Parts: sequence; C-alpha cells; structure tokens
Amino acid sequence: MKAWRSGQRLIGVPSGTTSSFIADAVIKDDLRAACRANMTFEAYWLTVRDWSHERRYPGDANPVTRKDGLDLLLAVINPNNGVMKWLQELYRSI
Amino acid sequence: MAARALSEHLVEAGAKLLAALDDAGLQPEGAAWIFDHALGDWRYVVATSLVQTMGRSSVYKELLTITKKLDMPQDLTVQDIHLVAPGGPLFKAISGALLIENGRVTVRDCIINGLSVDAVIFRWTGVPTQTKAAKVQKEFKRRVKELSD
Repeated sequence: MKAWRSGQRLIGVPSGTTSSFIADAVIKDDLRAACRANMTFEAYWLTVRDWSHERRYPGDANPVTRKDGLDLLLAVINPNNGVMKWLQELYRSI
Repeated sequence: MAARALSEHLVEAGAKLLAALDDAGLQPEGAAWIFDHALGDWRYVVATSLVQTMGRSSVYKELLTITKKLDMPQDLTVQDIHLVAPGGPLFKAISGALLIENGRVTVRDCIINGLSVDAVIFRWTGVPTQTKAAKVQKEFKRRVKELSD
C-alpha cells in the first residue's frame, strides 16, 4: 500500500489481467490476508482472477454462458464477501 | 515468447495434484501445465464440466473446504489451479488433436489448431456428455460431503 501511495508501478508485469492489477496496485499482501481470513472471499477472488478480458467479445469460439456471467457477477458484487466490497474497503483504508 | 523450462519438481507436483483432484471426486476432463505466452509463466489448468454444472465459485469453495483432507503436493495449493470449462476454446483446440487419458505428454513450441501451445499434459479427454457431467457433479458432491464429515 505504501508503494501504491507513492505512485510506484511495477515494471514488466503484463497488464490486462486481474492478477497484474493486483501486482500493479501492490496489494498482493492485502489479498493474501483477505483470502486467509475468508474462504468464500477466496473462492470469489479465484473466480474473478480466472476471467479473461478477451471474453468481453464472446462468440461461437469463445462462448460466455449464463452460468459464467452470473458466477462472475456474484463474485464481484456479493455484498458480504464480494471482491468489489473488499476493494472498496481497501481504498477507504488508504 | 519462448516458454521457460518447467522444473521437474513442478511436473511431479502437477501429477500429484491431478491424483488429489481425482480423489476429491472432481475427475477433471483435462489437467496440464500450460505456458501462458502473454503472461510469460506456467499455469496449472484444470478442465472440468463442474464449471458449467456447479459454477466456478462453488467448485473453488468446495476444493478450499476439503483441501486439508487431500494428499496435496507440498508446493501447490488451490490458488494454483485455474479452472476452465471443457467447452472453452483452449480445451477444444487441444482436444481436437490429442486424447490423453492418463500419463504425461510434453508439447513444446507447437501450433495446435491455430493455438501456440507449450504444455505438460497429464490428461486431456473430450467434452463430456450431459449425462457424464451430471454423474461427475453427483460424485464430486458425494465425495466432498464424505471428506467434510
């Protein structure tokens, strides 16, 4: 978090993935702690991590099923254990 | 980007992880170390119909619940698993060329059905029927319950 505040950015980390975002933001330790503390959050995080930005453009070769979409949505917006709630709390703590 | 070599240690751990997943009743249709050329790193990919029948979050949660009861390799955790659906492009591209029920096949610097692939494959079978997928789900749930008790 300290490095994030000072504007430091990791060089050489591929961008465009949720994992690279975590590395860029220097919140890997915060994520590790949150996963250790809450198994449901960890399962949601892994669901979000597996999402590929290429799936924004679904087609016959790259289908996104209703199940995929709902699964991702719930992992992001779940009011108790969702990834967005964790990010918001982390942001407020800066 | 050329694939970095995968250590023998991780290859062995990958084989052991598949055995643990089988023991958990997951019976994946695919399990392999696959080099992600965009990220420049290896990923342990597990293809399972459970992604579609149960949902990705539920499968991860059940695995996290029972992981301590499984004979997991020392250096790999559930966090190292990347679930994919057998209906996805990666699974289909490889299964269009290879059918590996069990064993270890190393694919180096290959173009398979238009996809650049570097991989150590332990299993890669076909897309399961709905009946087979339902059977896998039932067995996984039964085994999770058994291990959780």
